[in-house]
Amino acid sequence: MTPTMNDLQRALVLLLVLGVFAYIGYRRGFWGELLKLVMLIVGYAISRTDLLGGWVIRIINVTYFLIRFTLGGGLGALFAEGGPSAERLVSAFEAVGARGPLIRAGQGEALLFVLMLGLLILAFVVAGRVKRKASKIAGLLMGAVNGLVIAYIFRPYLSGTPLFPPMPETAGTFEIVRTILGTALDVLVTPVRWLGTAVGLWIVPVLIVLVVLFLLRSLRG
Amino acid sequence: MGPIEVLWFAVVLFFIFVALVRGYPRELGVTTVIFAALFLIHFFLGRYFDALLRPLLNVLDISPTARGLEHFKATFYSVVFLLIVFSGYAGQTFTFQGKERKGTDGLMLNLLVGLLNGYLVAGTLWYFQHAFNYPIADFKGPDGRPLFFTMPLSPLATQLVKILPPAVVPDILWGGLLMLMLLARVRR
Repeated sequence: MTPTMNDLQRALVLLLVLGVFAYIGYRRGFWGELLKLVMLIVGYAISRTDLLGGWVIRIINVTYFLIRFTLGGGLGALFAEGGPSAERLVSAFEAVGARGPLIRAGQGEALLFVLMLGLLILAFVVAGRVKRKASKIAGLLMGAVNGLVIAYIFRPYLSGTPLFPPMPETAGTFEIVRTILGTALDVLVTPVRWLGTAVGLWIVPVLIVLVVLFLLRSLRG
Repeated sequence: MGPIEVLWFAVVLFFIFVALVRGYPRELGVTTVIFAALFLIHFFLGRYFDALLRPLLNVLDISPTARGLEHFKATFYSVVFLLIVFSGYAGQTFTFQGKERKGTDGLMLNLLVGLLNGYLVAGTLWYFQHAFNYPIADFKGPDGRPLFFTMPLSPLATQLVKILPPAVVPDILWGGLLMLMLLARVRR
């Protein structure tokens, strides 16, 4: 099949992502990048309900069930004077059952997304602290692999529409610059948009405060 | 011209370039001035501007159209905001003390502060347009095409409007951030 202009643009973006991550790997070294890769894969698996995500939701729901059961008189029924009380146990079970699970079907996506994002941030923070030395070339290669994984994780968000809208043959320089700026903006805004949709717009002021605190902390002396 | 979000993004890029040249300790001073401007505009102008404008129009015996009033308000708010922001760049700047990080770390911090300042300034100017029904879109060239940006808003712009700084941040937080910056500046 003949590659189209969009395939070429997508390949260029992929190469750019690989290049940036390879450079980071080259600077940071192999072991940190390896750790980052493991956490990236775990984060991705957690974000998918058909992989680890469903299991994570079940664990959360079971923990919630056990806490409610204990607080709702289940523990008292088990250790009642004269042996466990079946009636009280059943009523404790029924009370918990009536409340239903903490995360219902279709509600877990936002939580899993936040978990994945948290793991990705943690991966970058932890990888930066690994000081064990190794070959810089190995770090470069591992960094490129991380770039590939990141591109794979975010591919549904990038491949939904053609990267650059089709431009007429007669488009002038201004039109081309405008299209590229618009596309760059779309790519930049997309993560904020997911975050806003997933957790609510209150995240924007929180992000502003976090950025300011981070910038203030980075002034030494 | 194109959609408003492209114009907005071009302004953000401009601020990023400025931050790359000036460095983040200087740019944090500008961030402080922007927080002050946002707090003043929201807290004082947002509450008292209409109450002050009405008697003034009566005294001057001017009765503008509704659209004319929107033009005036959007221009006034934008000019006041830009004048305050400009004061952060001109003359004695409000630089933060401390050793600036060099290399990749410094570059990333410069990018981050440029992005923050660009988002705050360009986002606030856009918000003033949005709050007064885009008066600047009335200006058209000789060929009838808009001079600054095209209307109606694109789907992306409709979503971006929801995350413009004054739309999502309560005015008291601007005051809180201003206090935080001043404390950090004094502590060093």
